[in-house]
Amino acid sequence: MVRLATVLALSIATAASGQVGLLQIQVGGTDKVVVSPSDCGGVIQASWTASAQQLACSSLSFWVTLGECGDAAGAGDQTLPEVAAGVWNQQRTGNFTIPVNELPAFTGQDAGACGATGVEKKHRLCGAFSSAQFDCGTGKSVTRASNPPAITYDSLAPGPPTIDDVVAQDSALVVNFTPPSGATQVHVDARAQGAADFARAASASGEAASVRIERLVNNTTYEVRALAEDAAGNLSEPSELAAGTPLRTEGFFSNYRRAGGAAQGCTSGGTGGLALIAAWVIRRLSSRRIRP
Amino acid sequence: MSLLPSLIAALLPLSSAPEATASFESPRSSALEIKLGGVTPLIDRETSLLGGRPYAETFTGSMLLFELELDRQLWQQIGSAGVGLSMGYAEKYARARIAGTGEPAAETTALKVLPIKLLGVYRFDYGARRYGIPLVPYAKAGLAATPFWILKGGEIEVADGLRGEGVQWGYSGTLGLSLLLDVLEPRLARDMDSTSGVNHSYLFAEYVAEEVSLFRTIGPDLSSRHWMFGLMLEY
Repeated sequence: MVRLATVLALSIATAASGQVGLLQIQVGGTDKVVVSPSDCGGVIQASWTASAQQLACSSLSFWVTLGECGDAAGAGDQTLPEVAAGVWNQQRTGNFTIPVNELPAFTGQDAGACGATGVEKKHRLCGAFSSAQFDCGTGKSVTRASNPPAITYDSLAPGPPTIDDVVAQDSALVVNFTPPSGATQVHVDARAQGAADFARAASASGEAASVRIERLVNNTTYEVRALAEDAAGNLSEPSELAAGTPLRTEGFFSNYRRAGGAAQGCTSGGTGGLALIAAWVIRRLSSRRIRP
Repeated sequence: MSLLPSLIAALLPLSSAPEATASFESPRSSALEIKLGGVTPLIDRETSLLGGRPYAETFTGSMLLFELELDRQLWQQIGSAGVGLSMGYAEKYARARIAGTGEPAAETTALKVLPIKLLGVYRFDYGARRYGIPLVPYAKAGLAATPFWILKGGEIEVADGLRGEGVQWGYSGTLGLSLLLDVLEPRLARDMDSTSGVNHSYLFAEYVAEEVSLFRTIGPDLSSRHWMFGLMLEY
């Protein structure tokens, strides 16, 4: 079972009395959560904190809808256990869970089952309560979430990335690509030309434009492909194949060494260097002193 | 006033300048220099090179060196003398070459240096202060340390099992001439002194001779002979 820790914040303003009520629902530190077919057996964990006017006139209710949030749950919405008026206004904090496979996307008419592929449906998590300053009979006001968080069921795979070019380097290839919108990661697979299977060679964020595949064999041609992954973990179809051949290259240091340069690399730290300079100065001064 | 008469006036002694300046001058103890120059390290002069010129064959032209120097004046009589610490940075990029063919590769190779110098500084500003002559010759000498990195494909290049990085040690000497800018706008200079404590500003050109190959076991010869140009603020 997949458990999604959730942190959402909702600010609710009461319209009637001018006082401000507060309802905070936390869902993983953000105002949106994306679930995938692999989450169908699990729940979304949520917690709330609330404060309102002096009198709690109704229970605190939560529901999930495919439409917009109103004052109460509508037909087809997923209703969640209510918190009694005497409880939420006293405790002012609590937890609840949202079964993923009971989201409205899977319970309404013509709805597919949780786990269906090729679907992307966005829900809203709504909350509301009513309260009053003095008298629930005459001064009651209903408050509702002004910024309800989003719960998206996403089994729709993103489009494949486009490989722009493959740049050959020494024992490496740089793959430049254009990721599709909605990608959170791009994976690049590689195989030696003629080999049967691809192996995952490198990954980058969905905002990256290139990856470098290292530890390749020079003068061997490699085929590469790229795949995009979205926030729900849906993987795209592979991109078109591209190919590149790493080649041994020589930089300035190789050129310098081949020409007979005397460089020995990093052999002297700061202290050693200062000591050498001091020794050189002392030697120079000593040699001057003994001259006639 | 046009620029030419200003410059002519600036280069002529101004007998009234010292008194006017002296009466408003705040104490001065330090100087900050910002300078730029093109540097070609003398790598290709190494006697161990068998006719090859690896720097010239890899890179085109000189490296652009940016340098900051902070001087502390310890003595102010006939001129001023003190100590200074400078740090600079220069880099040069070129295409690496494909082994065997020598064709340009997609990867780049780079030489990066970070020259650091501890200097003794003497400025003959007696003429400027006493007689208003706006030209100040100066000399510097001291110890130099130059960390360097040689990169290929963004990483330290390794050749023959050696990493292309290290520190070169040696000494440095400088002769320079600076132009006192205060004479162009004396009032502005006095305002600058009273508001920010900057006594004088100079434009300067200096010739630098560096020998950072004292200990020939630790890297390519990064010695150089080069000109630097910049701005100095004395405060």
